[in-house]
Amino acid sequence: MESRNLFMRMLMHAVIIIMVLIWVVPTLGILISSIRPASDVLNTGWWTVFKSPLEVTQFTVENYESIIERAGMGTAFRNSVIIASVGTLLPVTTAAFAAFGFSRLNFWGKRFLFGIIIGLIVVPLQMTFIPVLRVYHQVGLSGTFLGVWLAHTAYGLPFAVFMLHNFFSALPRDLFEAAYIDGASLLSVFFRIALPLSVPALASLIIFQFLWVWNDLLVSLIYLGGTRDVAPLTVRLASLVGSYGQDWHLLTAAAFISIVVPVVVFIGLQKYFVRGILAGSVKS
Amino acid sequence: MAGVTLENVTKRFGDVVAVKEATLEVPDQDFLVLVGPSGCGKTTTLRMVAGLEDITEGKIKIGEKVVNDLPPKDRDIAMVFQNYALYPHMNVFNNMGFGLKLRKIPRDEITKRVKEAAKLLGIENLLDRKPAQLSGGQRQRVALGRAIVRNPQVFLMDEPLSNLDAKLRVQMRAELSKLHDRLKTTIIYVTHDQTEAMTMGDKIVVQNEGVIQQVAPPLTLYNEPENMFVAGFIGSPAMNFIKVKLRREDEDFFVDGADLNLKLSSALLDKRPGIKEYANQDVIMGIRPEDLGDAQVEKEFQVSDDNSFTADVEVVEPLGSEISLYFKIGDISGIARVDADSKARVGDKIKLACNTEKIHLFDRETEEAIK
Ligand SMILES: Nc1ncnc2c1ncn2[C@@H]1O[C@H](COP(=O)(O)OP(=O)(O)OP(=O)(O)O)[C@@H](O)[C@H]1O
Ligand SMILES: [Mg+2]
Repeated sequence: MESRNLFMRMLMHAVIIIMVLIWVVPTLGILISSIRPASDVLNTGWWTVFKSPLEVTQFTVENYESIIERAGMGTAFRNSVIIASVGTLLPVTTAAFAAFGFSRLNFWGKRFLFGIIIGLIVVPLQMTFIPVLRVYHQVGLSGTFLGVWLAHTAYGLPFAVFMLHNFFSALPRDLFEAAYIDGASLLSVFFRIALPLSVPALASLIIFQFLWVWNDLLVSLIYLGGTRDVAPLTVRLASLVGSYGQDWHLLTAAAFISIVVPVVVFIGLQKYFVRGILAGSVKS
Repeated sequence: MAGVTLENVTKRFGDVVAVKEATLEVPDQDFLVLVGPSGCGKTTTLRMVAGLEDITEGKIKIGEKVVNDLPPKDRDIAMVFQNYALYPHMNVFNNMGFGLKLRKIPRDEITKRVKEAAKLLGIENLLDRKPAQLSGGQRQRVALGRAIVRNPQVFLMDEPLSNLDAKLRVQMRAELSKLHDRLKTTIIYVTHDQTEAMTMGDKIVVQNEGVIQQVAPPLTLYNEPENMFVAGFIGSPAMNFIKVKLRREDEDFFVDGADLNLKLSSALLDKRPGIKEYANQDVIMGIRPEDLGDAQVEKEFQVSDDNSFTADVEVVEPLGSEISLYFKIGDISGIARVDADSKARVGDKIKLACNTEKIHLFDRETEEAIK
């Protein structure tokens, strides 16, 4: 029994280590390539730096300088932040209100409406491009941040509502009733009870939505076009591949910039994944 | 402070009638206990008073005001939930002060009232803790404290002690009674534990299948149950029921059963003149285990042939101060609580004596008590 357990644990650890390597090695490769001079990148593999890792002269920030200035990555980075932050907060906030309504209120047609929202999860977003784009052209939303925020909100909402609805519905009913008796209005129940208790759910939703919007190329390309002053990182990156197909040193620098932000967001929100947030509230 | 009145209140969930035509008057400052078996509609009744459940029919008044359409927050009531329902993300202080804060009570006043209530409940040192860091009994007190600080017109409590262990429950029972003596707020208290009901209530409401069976002070309920349900529900172990015939012989009345032939005491006949009208009819006799005794050691009343019968002892449960005897007469089984001196053994045939003044008789059809 003992040895079996030990074996299982070693196996687990081995699997985890392998998975970590699968993720880390390419990332490291990108990072290192991005800080090597162009000539080195073309001639030797990135791992060769480990022969003499302390020799700082073999590294350079030139690649970063050139993409930020020459290829407009700075603007693209700013655009990405603008698109992803609002493109995350807008749907998550809206979904929180909607999900709370669906889980805590009774109104006519509730089940029907909720059914439609759930159904929308499986609609492929490609189907919406042409009709939405035509409307956008008419009202002047294409090529604007507002247009792309609205699009991301619409695409993100169904799943967000679904997930938060499940979460809110699982919160004990007595908790809300206690608050009503204590004198809380519907809104204060939402802000003071439901929201604080759903922080873990909100955090994971924010991460999902942020990653999706940050990494999105398709929606931006469709609704923003390739114009430099509004294009996000992904779009710029794609055009870099096109225009400098061979410039690995630049590509890796650009790619690394686009990786950093999601990692920071993830680490920043990690502490909100608290387990047992309801502990001590109700005895089941 | 105010009383609560229910007038013909009915609650239906689809086809299920959870509460049927409940009419009830809870005077101001009363401690009313609602008791009944699981699913009889106690919680539903309480939730209707709280405003958490719509009323299908009827009228509920708090004080002089009809509250049918008033939301919970405007009813000036506080509720203690069966499972505490504490706000898990707030510390004890904020849990207790939440209702006051929402009502825009000034900060100093909140602090003062929370501290006062905490002191009353002995939880002053816990104010900074989160509910997760409290024991069950402490959580219970916080839940009570949350109700107390609001200083409402009526407290509603739904089995607040059911999650506590036996010892703590007894302790909290006494504390709640003391609290009521002090605060004098009207309390409606739900429980399915008849001991809790008997020890705490000024008045008890016995409910069964959504229908109120009897409303009376504890001792009245025990001594004068209106029907077989109340008689069987109140008291532990439960009252014995035996099918008998009420035989009349000149001015004397006897209950005749399988191997049973007891003469009713004249005191009983004077107290319940209605019995005479059932002469020579089939009725049901009820006798509490504590009103039966081992004829050989009985000290509380005179034993004679007229009030004793022979029974087979099936189980003997010594409880220290007394003994529970499970007996059988013919094919009827029953329980007697006899004096601890009794020498009865399993398998013995013994003579049991019955305090005939304490016999209850019920109509076989309606199961109503004959008075
Ligand atoms: N929301 C509901 N929908 C349908 N039926 C319900 C609902 N709430 C209660 N009932 C039914 O109403 C009846 C009374 O329920 P209630 O909760 O008032 O019982 P109770 O006396 O509090 O029981 P317990 O001692 O188990 O708490 C039960 O038959 C129950 O199934
Ligand atoms: Mg209940």
